[in-house]
Parts: sequence; C-alpha cells; structure tokens
Amino acid sequence: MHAGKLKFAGMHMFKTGEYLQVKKIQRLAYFLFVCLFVMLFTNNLFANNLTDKHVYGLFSENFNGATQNAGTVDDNIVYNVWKGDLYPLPVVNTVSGSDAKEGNNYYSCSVSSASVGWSGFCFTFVTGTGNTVTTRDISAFSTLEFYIRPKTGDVSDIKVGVTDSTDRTVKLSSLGINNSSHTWQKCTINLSSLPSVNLTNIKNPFLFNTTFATATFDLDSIVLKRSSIGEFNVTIKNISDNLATSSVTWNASSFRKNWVAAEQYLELSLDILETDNWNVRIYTDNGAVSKDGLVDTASGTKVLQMCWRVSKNLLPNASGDTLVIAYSGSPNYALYDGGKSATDPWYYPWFYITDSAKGDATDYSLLWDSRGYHISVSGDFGGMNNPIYPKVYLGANCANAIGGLTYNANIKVILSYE
Amino acid sequence: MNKKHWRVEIYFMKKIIFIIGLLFIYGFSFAGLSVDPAIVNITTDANSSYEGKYVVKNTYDKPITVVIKLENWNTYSGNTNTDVNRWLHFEKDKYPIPSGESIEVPYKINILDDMKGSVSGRVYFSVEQEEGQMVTIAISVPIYVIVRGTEKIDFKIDSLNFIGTKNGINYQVIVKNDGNVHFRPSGIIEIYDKKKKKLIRTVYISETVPVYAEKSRDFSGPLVSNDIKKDGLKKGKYVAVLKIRAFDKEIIKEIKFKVSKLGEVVTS
Repeated sequence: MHAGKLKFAGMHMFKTGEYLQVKKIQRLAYFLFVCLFVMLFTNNLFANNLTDKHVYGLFSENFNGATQNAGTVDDNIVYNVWKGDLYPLPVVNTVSGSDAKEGNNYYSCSVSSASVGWSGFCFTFVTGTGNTVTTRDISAFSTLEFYIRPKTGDVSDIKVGVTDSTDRTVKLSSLGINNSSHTWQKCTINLSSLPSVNLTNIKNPFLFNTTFATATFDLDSIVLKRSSIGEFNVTIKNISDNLATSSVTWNASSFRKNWVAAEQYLELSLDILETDNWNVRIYTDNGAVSKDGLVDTASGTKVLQMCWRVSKNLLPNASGDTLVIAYSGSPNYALYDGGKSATDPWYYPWFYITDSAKGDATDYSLLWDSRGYHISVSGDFGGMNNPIYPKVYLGANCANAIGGLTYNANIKVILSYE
Repeated sequence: MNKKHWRVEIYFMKKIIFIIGLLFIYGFSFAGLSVDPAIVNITTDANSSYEGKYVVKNTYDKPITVVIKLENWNTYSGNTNTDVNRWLHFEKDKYPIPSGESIEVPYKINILDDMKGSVSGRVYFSVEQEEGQMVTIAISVPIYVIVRGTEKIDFKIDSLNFIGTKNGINYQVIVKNDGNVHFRPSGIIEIYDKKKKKLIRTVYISETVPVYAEKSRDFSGPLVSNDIKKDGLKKGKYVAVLKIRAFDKEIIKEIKFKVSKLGEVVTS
C-alpha cells in the first residue's frame, strides 16, 4: 500500500491508501443506494427493454418497450413526420377511444397526394436529454408487427419498414392488407427479409412513407418480436417495501373487521404475444365453488370471502387511490375504493373472487387482456405506459373470522388464449 | 472526524453493501413460465392422427415441475363423446424442468371415425406448488381440431342494440353460431340518416374472439360519444346497418333508432 499522506481542511491526516479505500467503498455504496432506489421506486424504469424483452412495444399499452421523449432512459424514442417540397405533412394524432386495437389509444394518420413529393412518419431512437439521434441493434428481433385499420382512400402503396442508413421498406399491399375492409388488420414484417437491411444499426425502428397516396388509416400495437418466446410471471411483493416475498398475509388487526386488504400484492409481468386473443384471470383454487376465499385449515368449511383489484400503479397513491375497501350496500352490493365515491361504478374496482371449480370465465375473474387492465366492474379497461407491471391487490372479509383458526387460500393466476 | 471514526464508517459501508447485495439478489429473482405455441388449429380427416409438441420454458431461478391438465372446451355437442381425453394424449402429466431450460412436451391427437364438426380442449401448464406457497401460475392454451368434410358454417345476428351511457351510445351485437365449427367474426356498423342516403358514421368490429359452435357471443363497444361536434348524433331518426363476416359469408341486419334531445336512444 502506498504510504503517502493527504490532508484536507477540517480533517485529520490519513494514509493515502486508507483514504482511497474509504472513498472507493463510499462511492460504491452510494452507487448501489442510487441503483436500489431507482429499482424500488421507479419499478424497472432502469431496465433496458431492448435488451431484456421478447416483445418490445414501440407503441403499445400492454408491453414494455420504448418510451417517447424519455430523456436519458435507454429506450428513448421520438416520433417524427416529414415531407418533401409541395407535399403536405402527414397528419398523425394520438386518439383515445375504446375502438383501439389495444388499450385506449391509437394513431390516426392522414396522408394526401400532391403533384410531386413524398412524406412519412417514423419512430427514431434518440439518446440523452437533447434527444440526439442514435442507432441501436435490433438484430435479436425477428419481426416488426403492427395493426392497421384502413379508413378512406388507398393504403396499398404506402411503404412500411425500418431505417438503417436508408429506408428499408415493403408496400402494405405485399402484407396482404385488404384496403376495402375497414377493420384492424395485422401486419407482420420479417425483418431479415427487408432488402439489404443492417439490423445492428437501426435509426428508425418503424416508419411509413408514401408518394402520391391519399388515405386515412389508423395504427396501433406496434411491436418488435423475437423468434424465441418470452414469459409470463407473477411475483408476490410486500406493500410495505415492494420486495419479493413468498406468501400473502393479513395483519392481525384485521381480525373481526370487514373488508381488509392484504399486506402484499401480486405483480404481473407479461412478455409473450403469441396471439392477440389472450387474457389473464385470477381465481381461488380451493377445490369447491363455495370456497371462494380464505378457508380454515382445520375443518375446511369456514370461508372468509375474498376480493381482488388490479391497478397500473402502486396503491395507495397520490391520485387518491386507497387500499380501503368499502361496501356500497343496496342497490349495487359492490366493493369500492373507500377514498372515492360510493355511487359511481367507475370507483368499483374491487371484484369478488371466484373459485376455479366454478369453471367460469366471467368478468369477475378477468385481470387483464388486450384492452388493458380491468379497472372496474362497470367494464372499463385501461391501457398502460412503461413500466407495465400491473399490480393485483387482494382483500378479505374478516368480519366472521374465528379466533384460534388458521385460514389459507390457493390463488391461481392463469394466462389463457382463445 | 478521526481515524477510528473512519474505520467505523468503512465497517458500516461494507455492511450496507452486503445488505444491498442481498436485496438485489432478492429483487431480481423475477422469473416465469412460457409455453409455445399459444394456439393449435388443426384441420384433419376423420380416422386420422396428428403429432405435435409444446415447448415449455422454465425461467425461474430454480428447477420446477410443470403439471399438465386437460379440460373440455367448447366441443361441438353433436359428437357423442366430448371428453378431451378421448382424442388428446400426453405421455406424462408432470415434467420436471431445470432452471432456465426448455423442454419439449409431445402430444398426439387421434380423430376417431365418429367425430364431426369441431372438437376442442384446453391444456393447462401449471407450476407445481411447493409447501407453503399460496400463488400458482398457469398458462392455458387451446387446441382446436376441425374434422375435414364435416364442417357446417351457419351463423346469424341474434340482436343489435344501442345502449345509452354517460359517455355516449354503445352498441351491443350478439352473434349466434348455429354451425358446428368456431369462427372469428368481423363486422361493420354504418349509421345513416333516416332516409338512408347520407352515411354519418362507421364503426368497425375487429376479428378477435371466437364464437364457438352452438354458442352466442356478445360484441360491444362505443358507437358514438356525447360530443356532437366530434361524432355525436343530434336529436333525430337514424338507420343502422350491421354487417358481420366470417369465412366467406356475410350477413346483414338493419334497424331504425331515434336519439332524443337528451341523447337517449330508442330502437324500433
């Protein structure tokens, strides 16, 4: 160890090596603290989705991926429109509506013809707070997939694809688009089939461009997909510290109280998009229709009814969403957020749980599907923005709990396709 | 601050780093299950067989055992025996999978002489629960088999209703499948003025979920909002034309309806 000495104002003298060791450990500790903070409180915002995900959302409300104008986040993209001389800019707006293919939003696009020129729309990878254009390696992905809904005019000659040093595109007509069918139609582009494309050096991971086309159309659910399949996962986490744990518990103070939320929540992670007809459901799996809750382990006959709620955000939160479960009574007999209105069904986010033995597939088991997470019993669904990890909170009616008994439930969360 | 003080700080820093290290390990123990393919659609002849396989991947940081369970699922009732176990066979009902690895799970379909229309079932792949675990995850995938030459395609629009909501008017279409195979319909609703001369609004129903043999399915969504300037309907009489398509068949239903000054809708 070097035996030199350093002296700072207000400090005693230390050997150089000793001082450097202190600083090194201190810096490492601070760095890890920052990482931990980001990990816990921004919930995977730190992740590089391009590296991690099998389904990479470029414009998706169900799958993690790129975020527009995300500053220094790795998955930062911006969208651009452009035009040639004498040619009008394409009009591309985000529209909210439950006729979206996925979630609540879609792009409404309009291009119009002129005597000369060209125009287009793209997503561009950028980096840093100044949104400097950059390129990224997307060679791990095999397909670019999106939905288009032709509305007016002719979309056949519009070209779609990616940009490396130049645009690498195919015409929509080559993707089997039926111009006269005004419904959402799936387009799948095999990335490696794009002529001369260099997927390791992509500037625009999605673009369309056109010359002389006049058309209006909608776009939604734009994703990159790997050929390998991703995964579906459920993690139990403590509400208190958001750390993973192995079981769901209720606080002892819940005894003999009406509806009480559990001390943990389930965090869902979906990175598979094999087909759009998917849904995630939740049941108790206690072996009988009547056992739709916590069941006493001694006799197996005493049941404390359970309920669930799914949220895109952690609860409770600054938006006023609470974990207080209130009962509306007549006429709706619904469970609502105690911090909200008892009369507006929008605030009936709690669903009575059913047991898988019932074998049904009603809305009371539906957590999440392509429309988004299931907001309330009134049938509302909500799309999500990165990071997309819906959280499922559980509740139980402990009013009839009997002292000295242990109650237990098996919870099953199922990803299903139709 | 003296030298002893610094040593205490180093000691605690090391402790903190150790604790943070543990938290990282714990926090990153995310993992899950995947199954490929998500849907199996087969059209085959009666008295034939088909062999396929699923790829099941364990992305947990530990070995797991995947349990396979079959469930009957919307088989056409014209089949005398609808039990999925009669025609769908797996070699085993449990498969251990090492951490981070994939396995192939083979299956065999035997279509018997007496089968017709469609037979279908669901395959559940669930992670076997360990002692003390409360939550199980599962992936459920369907297998649809159409028996070639026995298909009957027949469907109708059972009803078309418009329902007033606080945000506007929603449509509700019930499609009834009177055939013996499932289909995934798409459609369009066109709203015209009362003389059916001016097209006011078009709403699209995308091909999504299946309508199973002998079953009905409800398709609903927004027709118009309350925003007159955007797409709302003024007080008056209108004609709605619904077209539902599946395979190469299209059926049309037309209804008349009125919208009141308050935005309430009455169908006739």
